[in-house]
Amino acid sequence: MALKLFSRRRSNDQAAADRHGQYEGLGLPPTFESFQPASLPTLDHDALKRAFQQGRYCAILRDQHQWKDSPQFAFVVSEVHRELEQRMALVPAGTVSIAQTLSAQPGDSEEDIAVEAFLLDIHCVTNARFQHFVDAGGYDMLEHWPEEIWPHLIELEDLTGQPGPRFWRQGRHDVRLAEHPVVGISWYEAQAYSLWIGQHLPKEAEWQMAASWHLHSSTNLVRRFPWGDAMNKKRCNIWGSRIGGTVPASAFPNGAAPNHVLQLVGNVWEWTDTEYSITDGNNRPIVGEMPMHVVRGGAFDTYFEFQATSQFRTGQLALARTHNTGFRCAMNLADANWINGG
Amino acid sequence: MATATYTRSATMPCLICEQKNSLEAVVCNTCGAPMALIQEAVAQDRDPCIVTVVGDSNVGKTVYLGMLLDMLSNRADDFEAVPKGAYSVNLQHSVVSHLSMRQFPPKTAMEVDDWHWAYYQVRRRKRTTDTYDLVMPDMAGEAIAAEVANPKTFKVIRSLLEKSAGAILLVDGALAAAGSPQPDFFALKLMSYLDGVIATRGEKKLTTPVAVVLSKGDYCPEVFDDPRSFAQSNLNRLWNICESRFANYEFFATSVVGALAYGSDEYDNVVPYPLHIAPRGVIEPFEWVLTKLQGDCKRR
Amino acid sequence: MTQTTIACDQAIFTSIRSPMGEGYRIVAASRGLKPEEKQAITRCSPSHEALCAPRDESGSDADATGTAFYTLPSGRLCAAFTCNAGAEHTGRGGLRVYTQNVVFAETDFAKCGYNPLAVLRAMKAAGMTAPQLCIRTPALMPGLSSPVLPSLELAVDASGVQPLDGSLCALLPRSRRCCVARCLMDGKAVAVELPKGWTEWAEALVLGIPGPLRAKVSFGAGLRFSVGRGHCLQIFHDERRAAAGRASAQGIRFVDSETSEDAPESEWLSFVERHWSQGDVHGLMRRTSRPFADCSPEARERIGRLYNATDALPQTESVQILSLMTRTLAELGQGVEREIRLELCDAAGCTLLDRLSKARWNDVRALWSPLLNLWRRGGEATVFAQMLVACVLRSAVKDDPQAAAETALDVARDIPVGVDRVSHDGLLNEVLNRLAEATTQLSEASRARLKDIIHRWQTARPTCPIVAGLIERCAALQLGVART
Repeated sequence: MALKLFSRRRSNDQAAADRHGQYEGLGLPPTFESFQPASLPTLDHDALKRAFQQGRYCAILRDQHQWKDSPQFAFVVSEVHRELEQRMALVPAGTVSIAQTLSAQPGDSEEDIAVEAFLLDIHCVTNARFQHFVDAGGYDMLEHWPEEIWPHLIELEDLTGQPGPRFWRQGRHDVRLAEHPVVGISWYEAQAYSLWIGQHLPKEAEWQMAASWHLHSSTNLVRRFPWGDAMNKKRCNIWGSRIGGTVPASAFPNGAAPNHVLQLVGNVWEWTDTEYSITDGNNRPIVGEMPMHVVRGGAFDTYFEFQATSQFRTGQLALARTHNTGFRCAMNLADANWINGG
Repeated sequence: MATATYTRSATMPCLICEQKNSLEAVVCNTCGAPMALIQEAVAQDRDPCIVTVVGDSNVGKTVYLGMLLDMLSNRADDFEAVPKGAYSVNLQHSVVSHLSMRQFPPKTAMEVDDWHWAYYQVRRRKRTTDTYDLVMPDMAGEAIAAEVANPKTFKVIRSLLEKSAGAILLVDGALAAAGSPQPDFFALKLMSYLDGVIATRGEKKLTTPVAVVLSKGDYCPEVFDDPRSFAQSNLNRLWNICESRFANYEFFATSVVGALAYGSDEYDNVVPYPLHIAPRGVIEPFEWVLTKLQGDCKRR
Repeated sequence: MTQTTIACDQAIFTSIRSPMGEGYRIVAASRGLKPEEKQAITRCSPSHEALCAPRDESGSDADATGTAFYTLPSGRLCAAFTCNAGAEHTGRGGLRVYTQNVVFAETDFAKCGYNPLAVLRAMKAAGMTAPQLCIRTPALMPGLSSPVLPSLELAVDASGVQPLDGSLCALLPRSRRCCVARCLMDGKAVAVELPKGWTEWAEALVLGIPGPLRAKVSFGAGLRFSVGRGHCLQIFHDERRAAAGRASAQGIRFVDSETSEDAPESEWLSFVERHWSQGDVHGLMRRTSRPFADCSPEARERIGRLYNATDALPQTESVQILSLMTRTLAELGQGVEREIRLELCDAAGCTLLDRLSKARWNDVRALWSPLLNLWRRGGEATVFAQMLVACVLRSAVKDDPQAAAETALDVARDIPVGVDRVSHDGLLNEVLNRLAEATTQLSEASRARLKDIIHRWQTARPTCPIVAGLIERCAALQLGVART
């Protein structure tokens, strides 16, 4: 099964979004009185099928030896390939320049990083998808959490004290926000989820490559935005778009990158795998009160348009569980051995 | 406040302190308010409403007010705000310029004639036809603290608060969350001072609307969940005086900075850097105060 | 050096973070400071970024300093020294401004020569202008062991001043500095824009005002222009050229490099300007820092006229000097003005003596009549003229003893009060002795003249032993003068 790059059939969600044209955020978080908890999904008893239902596609592929004896194995694997082809896109190889100073003025030092081709989620991880992780007891699976965070795991709870993203209640998300990017999660939660599903958070350079499309070519073009070089608030969800909250992860299809990856700019900041390291104009380090990781892309409340570009880099405390930060997952191309009939 | 005409007078009384100034003066000799503000006010049908943003030093008044004005100018939440005079734009220009360069704006000096004054005409475009003429000065926290500690040190502050139709009291939510009693004590002193200044009107409970805004919410996001509860738990002295002496008050939380990091300067002092800007809870306190303003503040 | 000691209270105004507060405020003060004084210090003290950066290559922003002086509501005076003390502690850029204030009684101001800069120099000499803070950790308040500062006795040298070198003089040319001085004496606020030398010019300009008026002349030097501080004189550098419009609109006279105005005509400013142009601030200080009882414009003009006359003596003709002395000695006045007139007289006397001692009789003959008139007035005029009379007669005696004897007849009788009779008679004796000695080989005409002289002296002073002695000594000449 080949992974097509540009000639992708558009999903029903995207078509629906185009019809509506305008989005209205529901605001965050819903109050206690208006909260509508998502129902418990019905999952298969079979572990392999259950893993498929939970969206752990890459984990299935990674742990194939574990499932080989299952009678559903071949069918599930083919379905996994189909799902991954729908949900992920190929980001070609290229080079990105990462600003090393806070002001990032022309002439300031930059680090050029070569990026190999990789696969990236088309959508940010939604509440519905993350629900599976919570329901599966992901917050208790210590193998997915670095040891330094174990004492802090009990702090990673929702508004009612249950393990889960910050703005959930009773371990459930609000059903009206099911398709919105999950927010209120720290970098550790994002990483734990990505490991659980067999993927990883994109590195900062990978993220920037996906947003800027600085290909190895003679044209040397770098895009300020996934769709081009000019800000267009009808293609993304930032403060100036006047929505005031998150929108479904499939919204703004006209703001997609050439490979149909959506909302790299706007809606929610996205955690990356890279620690945030930056200096001032005099080479003095700038650090947070605690370790920080790079977040990219801007969010629905990003006020300055230039802070929602493919090059703008900023950081967030790794334990911060803000209302405007989510994530998406990436996959090494080497792990996608089914591409091109492999 | 009665409106007078000054077509042939060689002097004009200041809107704030009511001291006479020559018509050519740029700022009031006593309180430093721009004379252009006063001349604009004279040209309107009614005197403008004064909404004072007060708070201790380093609590974030300049950033809050600058962002508020810029967001209103950008028609946030259906507001339409028009500056009356170029001087009104200076504050938001300074704040936005610094924040966009990932710097905080410089400290507001105590010298009264260095303060930024904003005079805006504000209305909601769709919800109502009411228009408000608002004057909002950005004052130095130290001057406010000095006036509260020793009344009449800065008479302009007293005059402003006496004439205020509403107030936005900023309290350092980050410090309060960290357990410092300083924000609570300062707010208590300020509210007591306000009580003394306005109490001459003879009301049992003061009806001047006061929006208590917990600033720097990015440091402690829990403050957004329930600002009232947060205030009751962490700013109990303030909470008590609000309950006993004020009829119109509400608690809010705000933040402008999305994430904060720290560097150092050549003296090894800690320098905070706003990494990115994500305003939250900026409009709501202002919107609340606006809904509570007295009827004679509106222009029709 | 004129050393004096004044009792002071002190206060430190700066920005620190402490358990009791944050930001710019009085962080430490003496117990003797009154609440209204603290309020005024809080209002007038400079805060964030208030210092003008030095405009020469040697200085950095961190080296910037400023000075101020003003009256407090209590009537006491405040002298303030401002400097930078590390970075502003909230890290929002800029340097922290630190001000040491010293408060003292107006009665002590006279002891300091009415010179606020003398007090500031004393503060510096006492080490008070170095910030008492730990700059590296500005959130703390060490170095100050307690927020209560002691009251202290400050040793002030009232005679010291900071000189004005040529380059500083050139920064504020004649017409502009006179314009500033005129405004200050007329009670008008003035703002002066200079690239540097703010404190030096503050002292020079303040010293151009009569001492007793200076307590009311507040100033700020090296501090950014501020309408709110309300200083009479502000000297600063205005990089953004923003102050001019603001100052003018507030009725504050603005003086900068583009100001051109004719120097106002004034006797007082005339002599002050002379000192400025010579960079002689010390001389200016001695002349203006006197306890004048009357500082009205009329009094200033009188005093200015006296100083100008004193300075012009070398170029003034002797007969005009005598005319000046006649007028001056007619009404010496009281107090400091009297002292100045007497100084003028001393200077005039020295000038005339110097000239007369070198002159021939024929050159000074024309002076005798006005000199005689002055001598006959009595009192101080006679005392003044007496030494000149002696000088004239001694000059005459050298050249023409008979003429000297004839001239001396004018002062032989009706001697006014004030003349020392003993020395006067000694002078007359000296003249007549010389006359007696010059009697050899006299011509017939000279003999007749001598006889006439002796006869006239006999008539003028019939019982005078000096005359008798003269007759005795001239007896050998057989002039036919009878003894009485």
